[in-house]
Amino acid sequence: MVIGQTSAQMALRDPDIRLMLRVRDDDAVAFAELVERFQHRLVAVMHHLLGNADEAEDLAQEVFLRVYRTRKKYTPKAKFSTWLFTIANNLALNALRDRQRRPVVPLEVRDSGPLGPRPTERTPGHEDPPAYQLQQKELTDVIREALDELNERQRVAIVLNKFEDMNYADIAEVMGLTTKAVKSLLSRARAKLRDALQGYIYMDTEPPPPVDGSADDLTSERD
Amino acid sequence: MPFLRFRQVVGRQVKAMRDTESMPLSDDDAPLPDPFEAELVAYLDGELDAAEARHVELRLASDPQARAKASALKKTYDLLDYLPRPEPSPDFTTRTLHKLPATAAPSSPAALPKPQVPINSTAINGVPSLSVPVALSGATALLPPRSSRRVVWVAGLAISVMLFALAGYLITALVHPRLVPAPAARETAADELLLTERGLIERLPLYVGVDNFDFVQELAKSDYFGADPTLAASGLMPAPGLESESIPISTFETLTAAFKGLPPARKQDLRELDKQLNSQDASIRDRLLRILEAYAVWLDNLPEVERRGVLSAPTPLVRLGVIRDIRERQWLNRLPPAQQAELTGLDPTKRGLLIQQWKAEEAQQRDLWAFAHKRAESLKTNRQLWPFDTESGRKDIPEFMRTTFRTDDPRRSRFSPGDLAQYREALEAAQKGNEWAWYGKTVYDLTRKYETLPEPATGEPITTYHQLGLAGFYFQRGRAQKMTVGLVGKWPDFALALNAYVNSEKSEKMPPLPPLGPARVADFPESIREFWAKHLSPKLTGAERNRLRMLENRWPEFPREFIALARQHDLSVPGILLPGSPRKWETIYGNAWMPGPLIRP
Repeated sequence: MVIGQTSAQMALRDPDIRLMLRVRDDDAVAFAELVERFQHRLVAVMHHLLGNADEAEDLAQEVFLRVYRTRKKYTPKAKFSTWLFTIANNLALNALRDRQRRPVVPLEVRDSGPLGPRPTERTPGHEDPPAYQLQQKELTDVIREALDELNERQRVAIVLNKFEDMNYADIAEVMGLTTKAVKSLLSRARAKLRDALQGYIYMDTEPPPPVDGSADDLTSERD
Repeated sequence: MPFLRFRQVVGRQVKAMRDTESMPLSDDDAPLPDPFEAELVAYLDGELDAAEARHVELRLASDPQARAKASALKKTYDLLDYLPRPEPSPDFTTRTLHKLPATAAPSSPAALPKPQVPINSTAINGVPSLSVPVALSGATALLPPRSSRRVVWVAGLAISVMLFALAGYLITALVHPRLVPAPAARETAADELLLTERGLIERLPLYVGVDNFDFVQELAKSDYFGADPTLAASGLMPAPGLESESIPISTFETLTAAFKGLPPARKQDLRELDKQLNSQDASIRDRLLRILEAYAVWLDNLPEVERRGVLSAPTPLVRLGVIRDIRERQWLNRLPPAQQAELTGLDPTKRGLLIQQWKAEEAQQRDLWAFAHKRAESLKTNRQLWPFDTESGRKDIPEFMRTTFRTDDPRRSRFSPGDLAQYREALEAAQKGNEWAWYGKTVYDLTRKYETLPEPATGEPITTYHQLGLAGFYFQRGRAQKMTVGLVGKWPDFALALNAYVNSEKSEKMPPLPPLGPARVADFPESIREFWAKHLSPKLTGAERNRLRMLENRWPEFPREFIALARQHDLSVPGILLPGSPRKWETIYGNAWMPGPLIRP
């Protein structure tokens, strides 16, 4: 494949692409540099997706090895990180599905299908006052759990959006979806997170937002 | 809006097609319960165009429920920031590289960084002035007497190393036959080659088991040979490999034959390495040559099996790994019996910590020793070290210390009483006894020990529990108090300790804290905002800017990254870092020898 004019320009601007092109040309130092440069982001994303440190490292490693194995096929057409996270997304989704097929270890990850438990049934937050809940669980555990309640695709979209600061178009590219699909995916995910976590947000000194008496789903669920 | 609807219909169809291709159906495909919510989320994410955003804003302005919804969506999303940010384990890169398929080639010559400085002309014609026997015979009289180290270099290295040198090269060449042919011109004019590459051939024994210049710079780090005891006295002796008279003619001929016998690609690599070495500043070049000597002697003394392990490693990185493992083991074996006894029976974590501590102590000693050398040099030349070589430097630094650490007020100083006493003593010695070098060292060490972060532009920085409201009450009663003893009233020490406590005590149920310090440029004091706009911001690359942006609203991550970026661009953040080039401080008072790590970006 020939690199077109625009992608050549893009490659010149983006140091990550330049680095990857060196990896493509069998430069082992460049590969080491690539691993150094992206390991933190990749391990963090994998950890947020899988909820398990060892597995996250293994998978992140697998992503890098895959990058290395397919380096000859690399053509600089999008942002390098988008390409990297596309590989990461595929591996993570496979791993999550494998886990479901072998339900031997009941980790934090939940079933995501239509029959899976709804977050409203599982998380505390609707009947107990927040102070009580905090005695039951650390805040981070609660958040982690809320994240695990999302189905895999929602979780991928949220993690990329929140922790990688990715916009919808890039998420769409990584996940092989349309931007619009990403929009509704994220909207559902955000609604689920809100339902699961809104019991924990007004603990600080800030007053709750103004609420009128109408039967809004928000006001009826809180307290 | 017929067009919009058309787009939505088409979008749905495309989505349906794409989704059924790749994914099983899930609840993501059911119609959205509330279409406005999707708009609201996209609005909060900054994903709407101007018209769509205005639409949402109008609704928000008129609808309190919508506002409440937006607020809940945003705040629950912000809660995710409380999740710890997991870091890869320290050996992640090494482990990953070790998993590479065996065909992974060492870096190609094309990947080597090209010399920045125009290549030293003596290196090109291969006759460095020191290597001309006539020129040297006069100079030798001025040199200190040869030590036993010198004898090793001449007698031991040149001959015995060569015996396995060929084997080493051949093993490497066999494992990785590289097909890059050397430039034809160099290969054909063989006689000329010998003439122009005389220096390289003389240094050949130093290049055994050395891949390229990057590899040499790695070797120069303290994990490898940067801290080798043989280097301690090296300032008193000429660097190896620069004096042709120390190599007898017959040895030179053996070396020439050995070089001729190398595969073309290896020859090319060696030329490149030699060129890069010679393009360095003389002081750096000499130090690297000494490192190479220490490495060669070490290699020569290794048992055969281990030496072969080093030489046959398939890539530079693997080779470095093998070397580090052997060095580590040797270091442990050399420990005094008492210390070794202390280590036995400890569990791996405690053992690791203790080893780390001993190494840190060793490094500190080395650091002091190296600095003593520099000070001695400044005394010899009767010149104060930078920045105390000017009147303004002698004024500005104490002034910076006074305002930043309140060194004039024992009750409010950030320093512990011991450190403050040490500082004052150093300052007095400097001002009265002209001992500025030690003052500089003291100042440098103290600023490394006491981290400084920008205060908020408005209001008092958080230095007490009662500024934290209810959460403060909670922490004050809890175990956090232990960690903040003596730090109440001190910025940013109190906030950092509290933050460290929150991060370490994951098992405790604790209320969320408000931000403990400014974590956006806009919240920094004016002098720093100005520094950002005028000096730092214009220098940042897109990636650096992005990295900083991703840390916005995280404290202390954001200000730390801000300061780290300034350091990287050799800029001093006003009121935070010592005035003057951070790199100069580092070079003169720190223990950094080389400009920066190479494997890291």
